Amino acid sequence: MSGRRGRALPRCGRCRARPQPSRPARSRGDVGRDAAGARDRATVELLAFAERPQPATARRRGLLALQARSTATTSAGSRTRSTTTSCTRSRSPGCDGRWPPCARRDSATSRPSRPTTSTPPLSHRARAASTAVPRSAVGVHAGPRSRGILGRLQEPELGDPIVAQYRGRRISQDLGNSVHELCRATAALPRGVLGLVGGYGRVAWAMLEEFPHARYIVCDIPPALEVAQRYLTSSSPTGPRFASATSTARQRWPRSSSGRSSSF
Amino acid sequence: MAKELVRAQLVLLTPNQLALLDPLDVELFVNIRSLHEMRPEQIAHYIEQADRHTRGFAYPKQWERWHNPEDDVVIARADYPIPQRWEQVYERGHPIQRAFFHALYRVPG
Repeated sequence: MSGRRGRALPRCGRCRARPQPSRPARSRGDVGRDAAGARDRATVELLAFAERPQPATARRRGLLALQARSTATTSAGSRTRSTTTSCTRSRSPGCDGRWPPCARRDSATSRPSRPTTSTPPLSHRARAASTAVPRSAVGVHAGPRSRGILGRLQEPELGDPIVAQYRGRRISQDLGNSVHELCRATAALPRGVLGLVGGYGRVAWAMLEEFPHARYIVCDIPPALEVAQRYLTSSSPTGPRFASATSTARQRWPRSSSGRSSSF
Repeated sequence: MAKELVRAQLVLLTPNQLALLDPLDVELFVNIRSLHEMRPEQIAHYIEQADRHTRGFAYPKQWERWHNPEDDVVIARADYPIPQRWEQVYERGHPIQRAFFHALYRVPG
């Protein structure tokens, strides 16, 4: 259901130039070292902040300030290989050429101002890492229930996600999002959940870990179902009890001349 | 097939199968950041399916505004055809991902 063609990036709000994707001219080793350093710095900042007793509003603002230190796009997940973008044409006064466009950044008036301290430039991978940690703390400020769930769950290693340590456990941006969504969505212990477009299964995994007696129904297109099946099977020690309507359909579908099923 | 669905902990369905099944009576419907990729009639279809299969709550989390370049349509928060019988528990901007909103609706049985 996603777009078949690549989406053109929106124009910069001030200089109207369309950003062009660019890759940092750095070696893979440099990127890895930057990512590790950023992850360590962000982990220390997050843990020091999360463990400090303070009012909820101040804690939330602090977390948002941590988040604002990164210029990565909001939609970049921890498993997404993002690229940096920048304006390539002449810019209007005040346009720094960074991404997202300055108009979009300026429009968020309620967002905390960007810290003025000089921080070393980070690679796109390192920015993703430093973004992942504060965002994965969404459960930290959401309440004791979220903190309890984050204290029990641990990000699976499948897919090599960018992780940080929280109370001795691996957490990630996706796990934080899943816990936040789980807490916001579940008013009581659900017996059955219908996830429309389940993606690779992060919400399903968190739901089944937290509610092991629940039944989760993932509805998505076949390639995504295959990914979700592999992720959920590999991430659970015992593996969930599967019922796939596609397995029934596969038995009825005609086989190709090679003898393999024509279904996915 | 119905017994298999009831016994299972995890069920994988394709979108077309959702419309062919009897009501699943799930307690919670979850959709995270994907309805905006569809055309308005597709969004209406899946919300109708959610209404048919859910007896409890529905939790959508979507972009506040999204331009679908494939179909050249813009989907905003107010464009989702939420059934009138769904009772809104809350609907607000997301506290962390500010380009998103999330909402919880009570879906009566």
